[in-house]
Amino acid sequence: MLGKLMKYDMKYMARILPWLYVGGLAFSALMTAFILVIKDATLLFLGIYASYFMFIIAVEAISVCSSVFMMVRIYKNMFSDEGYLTFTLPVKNGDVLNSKIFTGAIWTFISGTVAVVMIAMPIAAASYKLPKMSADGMGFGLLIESIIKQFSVGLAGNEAKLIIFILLVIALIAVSAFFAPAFYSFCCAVTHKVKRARAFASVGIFIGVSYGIGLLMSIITVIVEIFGEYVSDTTGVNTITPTALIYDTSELSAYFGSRLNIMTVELLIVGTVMLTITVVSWIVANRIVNKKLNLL
Amino acid sequence: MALIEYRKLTKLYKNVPALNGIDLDIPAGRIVGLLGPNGSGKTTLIKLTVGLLTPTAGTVMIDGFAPGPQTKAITAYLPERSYMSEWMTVSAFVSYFADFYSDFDKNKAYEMLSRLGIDPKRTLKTLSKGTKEKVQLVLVMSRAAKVYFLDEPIAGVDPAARDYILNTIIRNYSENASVVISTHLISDIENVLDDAVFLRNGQVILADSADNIREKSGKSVDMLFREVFRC
Amino acid sequence: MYIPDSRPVYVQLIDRIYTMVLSGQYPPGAKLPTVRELAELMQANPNTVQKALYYLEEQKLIYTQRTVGKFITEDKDVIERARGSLARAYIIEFFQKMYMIGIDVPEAKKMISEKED
Repeated sequence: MLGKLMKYDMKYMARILPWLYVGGLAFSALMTAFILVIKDATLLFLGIYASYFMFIIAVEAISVCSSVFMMVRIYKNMFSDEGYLTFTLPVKNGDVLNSKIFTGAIWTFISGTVAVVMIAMPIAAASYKLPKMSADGMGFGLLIESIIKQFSVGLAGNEAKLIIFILLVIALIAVSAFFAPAFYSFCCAVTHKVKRARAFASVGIFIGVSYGIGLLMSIITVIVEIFGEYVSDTTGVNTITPTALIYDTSELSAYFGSRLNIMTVELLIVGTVMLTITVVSWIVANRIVNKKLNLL
Repeated sequence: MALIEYRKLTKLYKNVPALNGIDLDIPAGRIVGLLGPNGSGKTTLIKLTVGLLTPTAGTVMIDGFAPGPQTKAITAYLPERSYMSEWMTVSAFVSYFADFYSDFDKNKAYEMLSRLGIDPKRTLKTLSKGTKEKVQLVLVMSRAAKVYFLDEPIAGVDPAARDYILNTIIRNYSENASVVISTHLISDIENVLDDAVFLRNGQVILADSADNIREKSGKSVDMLFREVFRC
Repeated sequence: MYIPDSRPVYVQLIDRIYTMVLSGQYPPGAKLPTVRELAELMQANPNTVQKALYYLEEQKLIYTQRTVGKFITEDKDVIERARGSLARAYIIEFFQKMYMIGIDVPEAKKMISEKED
């Protein structure tokens, strides 16, 4: 039955989101084509400069839209009049909830992937086109190879930490995809007994608490940074020269390597907080929906 | 064991009892009228039975089970409000019901829709309020459930449709199933009722067969109701 | 003004079926519709229809042929007796109503003869 529920939830989101993706990817493809085709460097930079703002909006729009649609689906299908149908289906109430959270996460993943592709295409084209990215002015393929080589040199000895870091990033992305639907479901479930303005209450709590968490994360990050200054690897470097950014990737990677410890710790903290909220929200929402449903 | 058994069922909203200790049995094969003024607890009783509310105290058992996936599979609920998403088409809904309810008869649904002149390809957004209600009724009556809960099925509906609804209820009648109709338009349905339950302030003040009521009081159920609930 | 009939529904159904038989809608020997069809026709509960048919069978107006259905009796005496007693009931009702508006039985009879001309 969970599968059946998911089928319909996926279908709902598939009404609008794919069109956004098509639009976004088309926009990105246009930009990419523009970058590849234009010969005049000034015109190229002007073009990129003029459109990057719209581009960022496009990426943001996709991310915001998928969040909004997910929230609308959760609220409407479970806690508005539609809930009278959804919660009288011959399924466990918890499955209704879980279906929403899983499909919310899936669409978040898809949106994220589309956003990454949208950003990667023009950047790849730009890297290809822009001359003198490396000291020897090599072609794109060889350029990437040399970057990777220099990067590995700078990170020598830190491979394990790097792998852990990358795994943590992936884990964090996975958790954050579940965070929004789980936490929003929690907000709805907790306010659903209130008849008036419960839609606003649920959205309000969601946004408010999310901001609060963001703020908390920023504070924690700053604290860790300050503390970390005293604990970072002394073999590495904790400042970088501006030229290193463009000409010497080994210095860049050494800097990166020294900060790995700090960043890993920050990631762990952020990830743990998010994971805890996600899990607790999911469990509480499940309990409310299964045992204490009161649809007014 | 009756098909539905209510034992001391109570529902409080901030210490105000919407239902106060309901003890009632609904056997199979009966058409029961749940009768009472607004706010007497009819809808609360129904929502507790179909699982949209949780009791504050007491129990409701359908075929021996508390409300859950098992009971929802054998219960058909027609609420007073529209519970369908506006963007779906009628036929999409027919498929939706067929997908989740194994007792749903697709052919019967399409036949009823065509009899009522409703085009299945239309989206619900484009239908009038009355037509939407008819669609919901068709979906509910196309199920072969063990108990049907119809909350005010004839209130906002024209007389011809009213007749159609009553005839559908009669035609669907089976000795293994029961129909519970909550309404305040009693004279329209009283000839169809087997039993009548009068509800006031969350309590059952009368539960008897319609024939008994007429014989004992010498009045129709509608007339007795007006007397009992006189303002 | 609509005065609702407060007699038990099965009693009302019995009346209606008698009327249908006596008016010729269901002539002697005719096959009755099924309980469900009758219920739909009369917009009444099938259980109540069943009850009415039970009494009608007791009163010998109908009989059941197993696996075939229910039929109106072919016994003319039964039907004529029913016609007679229903007619008498109507007459009594008529005189009662006339009395209620201040017309006694002899005067009512006089009005009927005058009406016939």
